[in-house]
Amino acid sequence: MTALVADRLGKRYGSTVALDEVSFRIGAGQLVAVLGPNGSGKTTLVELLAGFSAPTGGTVRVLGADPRRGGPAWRARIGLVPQETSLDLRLTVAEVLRAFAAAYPRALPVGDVLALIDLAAEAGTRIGALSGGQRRRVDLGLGLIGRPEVLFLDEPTTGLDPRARRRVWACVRDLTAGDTAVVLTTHYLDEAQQLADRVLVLAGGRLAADATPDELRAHAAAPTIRLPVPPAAAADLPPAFRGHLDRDELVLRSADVGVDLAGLLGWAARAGVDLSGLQVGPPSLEEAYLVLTGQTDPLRTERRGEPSHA
Amino acid sequence: MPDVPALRAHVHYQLLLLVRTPRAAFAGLLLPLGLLLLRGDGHPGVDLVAGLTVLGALSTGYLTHAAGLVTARESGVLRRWRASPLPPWAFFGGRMVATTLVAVAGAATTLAVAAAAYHVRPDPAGAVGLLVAVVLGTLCVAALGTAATAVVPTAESAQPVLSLTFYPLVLLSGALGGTAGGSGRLGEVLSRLPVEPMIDAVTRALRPGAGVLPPAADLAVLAGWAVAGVIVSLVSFRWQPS
Repeated sequence: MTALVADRLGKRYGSTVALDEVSFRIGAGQLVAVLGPNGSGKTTLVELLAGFSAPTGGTVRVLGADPRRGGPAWRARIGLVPQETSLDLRLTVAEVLRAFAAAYPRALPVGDVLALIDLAAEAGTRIGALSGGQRRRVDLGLGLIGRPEVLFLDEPTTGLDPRARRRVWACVRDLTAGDTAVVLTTHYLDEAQQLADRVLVLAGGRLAADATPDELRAHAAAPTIRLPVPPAAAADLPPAFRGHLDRDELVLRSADVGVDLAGLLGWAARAGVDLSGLQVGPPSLEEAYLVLTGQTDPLRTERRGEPSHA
Repeated sequence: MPDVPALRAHVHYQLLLLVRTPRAAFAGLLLPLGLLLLRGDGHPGVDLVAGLTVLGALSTGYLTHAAGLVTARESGVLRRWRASPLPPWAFFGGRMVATTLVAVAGAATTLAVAAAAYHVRPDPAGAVGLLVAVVLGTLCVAALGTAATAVVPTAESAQPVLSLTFYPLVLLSGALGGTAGGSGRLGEVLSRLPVEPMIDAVTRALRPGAGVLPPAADLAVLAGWAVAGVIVSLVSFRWQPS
């Protein structure tokens, strides 16, 4: 079942194009990450999908309805975790959850939400006394308290420490085990890699890619050869490879893995370099993302003019 | 459609917020009580008790209510409620009911102190008129406060902007006992603005032999301003920061 359809969706602010003819479909139970640099249109897209803003071009349907005209019954099926924490700091976690639960016709029990966001012990704590990560989890709890069929997560883990991020990820995974369609905007490539079934990459307001993380990595950039190089051996690297050193590691994006690997293995044998750390694989999602968004890859700009390298 | 439990839950939520707002306790209770004790001088007149009662109730209905809305808008809380299935009428209904309950509680406390310390108290019939005046006056200025949030851009600017549109009016209208307008042009203007009629209604309710309902002219002015506040709010209220 299709939960969400955007058809040539556009948004202009005066002469500035924030979103330009973006089209995609998201099915029930899918988690789609929206990636893009600052100003690429991610938050504009969420604003349009959630009905906070009207498109200046194209159409959008969420659960079959125009989000701008969605009434209470439609909003009861939607969850939203906004980009910035938005909570009444003077109330306790349980008080806020209870107040919002009362607004939804088929809300999750507050106790279940507390368990899901791992804040049962803090139920009676005022939100103002919580850490940033805990507040973000309350935000998440409010987003999912109505058992949403579509959930918008706008950078839900920005500013959280790694442990708090993983807790949020666990919450999101639990949620998508059902039929909830999730639209996740994020700056974190590892987050998209961990959670997303599909990735939409926005660049300059346009849809630069719509694919699975693996497809993106396979198609957007060349394979990568990695080899730890001891400092003593670095000076003996052939000139073609020398520019690809990143601290004590050779990171080479290769257009012809066979040729490059042969050259590298020959040099390693002559120099007596240990090959146990050698890795050959597809590019990281980050590398693919940088290519797709047209952003400068420092590894690439520093190394030009060598054969076979992508 | 939210049912009665949803509305009741929202009233409870807004009540919790209000009673935990230091500004509400100061402007709605401590300020009028402090002025009553300072200015009472052993024999405060009915005018002063009525004026300070109204000062406290309107501080809650206008200043606290409107500043709270602006803060909630700026912090994204309003937007979050807008994204929930709670309809706007239920959001504002819950907030208005909570604001009015707190204003009535503040007014009751001020009057209880005035009764205990200075023996200024209404007849039973006057008490009903008093309640009607405080409830209608609070709802009236809450509607105007909601409308005023359209011209308050940030939480930081809320207090100065709201205070500028509140304290001159309540002080000129007789919040400290006796109006500044008298029967001249200023008095004529003040009698058509919402504060002076409310003070007049409360003053009459505190005098012996008061009727159950405040004077119709006072009620008409308050109702008129309340309707104007609601209309402007419907047109101009913003759920999100600009």
